[in-house]
Amino acid sequence: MNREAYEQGKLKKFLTQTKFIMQDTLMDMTRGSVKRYVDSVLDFLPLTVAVKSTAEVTNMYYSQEEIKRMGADKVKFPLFRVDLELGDDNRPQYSSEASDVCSRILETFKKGLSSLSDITQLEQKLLPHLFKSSTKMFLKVPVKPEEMPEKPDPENKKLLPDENAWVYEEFMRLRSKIFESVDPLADYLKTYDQFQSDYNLDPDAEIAKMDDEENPPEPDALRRDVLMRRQRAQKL
Amino acid sequence: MFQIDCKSIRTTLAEKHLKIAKAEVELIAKQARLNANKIMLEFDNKDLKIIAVPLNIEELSEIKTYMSQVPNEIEKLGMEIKKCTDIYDMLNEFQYAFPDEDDADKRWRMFGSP
Repeated sequence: MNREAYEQGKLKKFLTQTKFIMQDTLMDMTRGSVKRYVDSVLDFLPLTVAVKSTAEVTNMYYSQEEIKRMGADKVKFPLFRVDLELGDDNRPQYSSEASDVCSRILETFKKGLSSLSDITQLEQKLLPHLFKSSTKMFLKVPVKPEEMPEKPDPENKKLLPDENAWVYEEFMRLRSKIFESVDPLADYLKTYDQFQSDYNLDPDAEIAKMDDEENPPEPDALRRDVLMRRQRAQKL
Repeated sequence: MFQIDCKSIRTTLAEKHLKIAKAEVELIAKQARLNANKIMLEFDNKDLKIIAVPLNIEELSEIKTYMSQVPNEIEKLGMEIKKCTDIYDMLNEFQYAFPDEDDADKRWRMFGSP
């Protein structure tokens, strides 16, 4: 079959219709999948977080009405685990920046969408002699716009709303919620300010100060300090 | 969404205190050793003076006078021994083990010196 016969024939119409069906299916699947992804991540975000102390943080995942409806509060498991550690500047810090975690979630969103963009059209697959393989023909799939597409003028019936606006809306819904959810991490870090004297403690300097041959510390004072430090270590 | 593991920071801070506490116990042990050595040296010096063979009557008289002062001096040293024993008791409280067994025995040798 040559190009001209293909252009005139029914095969083209059939393959075009198949392409539209595939694109529709992809659109439906993507819409559902994106919504599920966003909802599932948001499901792990608490409604409120009350940071009371280093050992007491209360997450509220459900409103009172929801708990009444469900019968009992459901237990949630955390999606990410970060370590709180002492940095080189002797200040507490998280092993992973919260913003990095958020970026990773958003990257997964973008990666999922971008992986759809290289699905070749059937025409090129089935009729390689008619379509040059150097120019790839891909199916039209949902993409995330860089910014919110402008809404068309309702008066102008010829203009249609942007078909990817929903992707942007879902992306922004996810983005705003997860960035909101990391705010309590900074509040929690502040609860560790009470250990400021411990952060500043330099054991080697302290030991050097005490180990004075000319003026040795009293054993009783040393004993009291040993007991106090052991107690402090136990408490920590 | 996040679980925060605080074990690392708490361990780091606790280790700082424990490191200082350990060094302080070592300092107490050092003082116990130094004090015990000092006291035992005092007794050794007294022994040497007493057992020295007098070459003349003056020296014999000097030793006799010295010997009469010894009980008073031992009484003074007894207080030093008590203080040093208290330091050893502190080390016992902290379950400190001297790396050199001789240092641990020194307590009882010092105690028996008078």
